[in-house]
Amino acid sequence: MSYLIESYYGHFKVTLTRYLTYRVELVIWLISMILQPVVFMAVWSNAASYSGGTLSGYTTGDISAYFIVSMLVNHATMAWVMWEWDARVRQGELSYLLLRPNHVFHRDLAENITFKLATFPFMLATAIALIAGTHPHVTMSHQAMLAIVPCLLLSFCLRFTVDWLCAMGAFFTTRVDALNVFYFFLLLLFSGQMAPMPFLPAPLQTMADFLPFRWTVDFPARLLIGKLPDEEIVHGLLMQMFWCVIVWSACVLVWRRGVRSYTAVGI
Amino acid sequence: MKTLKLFFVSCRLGILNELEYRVNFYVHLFEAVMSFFTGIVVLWSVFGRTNNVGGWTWTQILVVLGLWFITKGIVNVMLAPSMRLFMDDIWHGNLDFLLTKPVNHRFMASTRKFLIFFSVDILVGLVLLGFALPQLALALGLPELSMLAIVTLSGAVIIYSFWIFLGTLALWTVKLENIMLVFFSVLEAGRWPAGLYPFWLRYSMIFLVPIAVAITFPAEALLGRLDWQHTMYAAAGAAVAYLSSRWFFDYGVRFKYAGASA
Repeated sequence: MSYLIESYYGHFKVTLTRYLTYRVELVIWLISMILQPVVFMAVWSNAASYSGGTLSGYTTGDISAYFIVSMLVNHATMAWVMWEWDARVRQGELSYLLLRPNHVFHRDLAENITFKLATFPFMLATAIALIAGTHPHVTMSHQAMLAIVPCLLLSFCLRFTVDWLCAMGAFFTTRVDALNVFYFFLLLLFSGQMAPMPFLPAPLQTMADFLPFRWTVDFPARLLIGKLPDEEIVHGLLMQMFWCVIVWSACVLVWRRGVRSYTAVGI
Repeated sequence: MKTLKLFFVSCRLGILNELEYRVNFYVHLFEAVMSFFTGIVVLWSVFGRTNNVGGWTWTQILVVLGLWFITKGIVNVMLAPSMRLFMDDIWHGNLDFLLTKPVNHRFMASTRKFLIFFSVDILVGLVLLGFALPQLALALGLPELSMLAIVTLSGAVIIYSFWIFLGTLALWTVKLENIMLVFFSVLEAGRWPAGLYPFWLRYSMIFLVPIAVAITFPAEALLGRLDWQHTMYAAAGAAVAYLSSRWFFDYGVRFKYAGASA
C-alpha cells in the first residue's frame, strides 16, 4: 500500500512537471471545457425567456446555475484515456507499461488527478466570473449537502471506468476514432452536458434511464443546485453504485481478454 | 493561370493520395453522420421546448447549421491539412523545398494538401441548406443577393487569413498543433448564431477566431436581415485581414525562417 502511494506521488511529480512545461496545452483544454457549457447556457436561457421565463420549472437563474455547476462537475469527473489508448495499442506503447509492477490503471488515475488539481483554480476562477456575469440561483437542503461528497466520488469512479472501458476498444479495433466520436455523442446527449434531464424530449429521457451517463454529470449537478428531492438523491446514489459495479466488472473482463489478444505491434 | 493549374494539380494529387486509404472515407462518413445527428438531436431537444431561440426559428437555425458544416468541411479539406504540413515543414526544415520553387509561397503553402474525404461535411451542409431554404420561401432582391455575395466572400477570406496567421505563428513557437484545437473548439460554438452568446464570446467569435463572420453573417444575409453597414464592415475586415496576413507571412518566411535542415 505504501508502495502504491509512493508511485502515485511519483506520477504526480512527473505529470505536474510536464504540465508546467506545456502550459499552453492546459489553457487550450480549458477553453474547450468552458465553451460548451456557456453555449448551452446561452441557448437554453434564450429558449426559456422566450417561453415566459421558465422551462420545466427551471428559471433562467436555475439554468445558469445548472450549467456553471455542470462545468465544474464535468471537469471533476472527465477523463481522456481514450486518446492515449489508440497509440498504446497501435504503436505498442502498452508493452512497456505492462512490464511495470503497477497496473496501467493506476498510472492513468494518478495523471488524471494531477490534471484536476493543476487546473482546478482556473475552473473556479471561470465559475466565479460566470456567476458574476449571470445570476444563478441555488437552493440546497441539508440532506443534499451531506450527499455531495459521496455523489461526486461515485460520479468520478463511474465516468473514469466507463472511459476506460471505452478506451479498451482499442484492443479490438484500430478505428478508435470512430468509436470515440460515438462515445462523445452519447456523453453529450445523455450525461447532462447538453441539458438537464427534464429538458430532454421524452424518448431521449427513456433511453437515458437505461444508460450510465446521466449519473455522471446531470445527477451531481442537479443535486448541487438543489433541484432534487431527498428520495431521488438516494435513488441516484444507489444507481451510481449499481453502475460502478457493472462497469468495473466489465472493465476487468475486457482487460483480461484484451491483454491476451494484444499483439504488441510496432515493437 | 499557372497558379490555377497548380491548384488543380495539388487537388488531384490529394484525391489520388486519399483514394489509397479508402476505409478513411467510411470513418469520415461516420463522423459526419454522427456530427449531423448531434446537431439535429440537440436542435430537436431545444425546439421541442420552444419555437424560437433568440429570434431564430427551427428552419432558420438549420440554415446556420448548414453553413457551419460547409465551413468546417472547407477548413478540414484544404486549410487545416495544408497548414499542418507547413508547420511540419518548418519544424523539419523542409520548407526550403517550398521556398525554392518559383511560385507564390503563401498560395502554395495554403493549398498543398487536400484531405478530400472530409468533403462529406460540405455535402451534409449543402443537403441541409437544400432542405431548409425552400421552406423559408425567401424573396431576395438584387441588393440582398449582392450583400450575400460580399459577406460570404469576406467570410471565406477572413477564415483563410486566419489560418495563414496560425500557420505563420509556427515560425515563432513550435508546438502549434494545439492552437489549431482552439479553432476547432470555438468552431463548435458556431453551430448557433453568435447573437445568442454573451458579449465576450460574441466578440471573440468575430475578432479573435472569426467563425461568426463565416457562418452567422452569411446566414443573416440569406434570411435578408443584414444591412449594408455590416456588410461593409465585413468587407473592410476581410481586406485588413488579408493584407495583414499576407504581410505577416512574407515577413515571417523572409526574416524568421532559418532553414533547419541546411
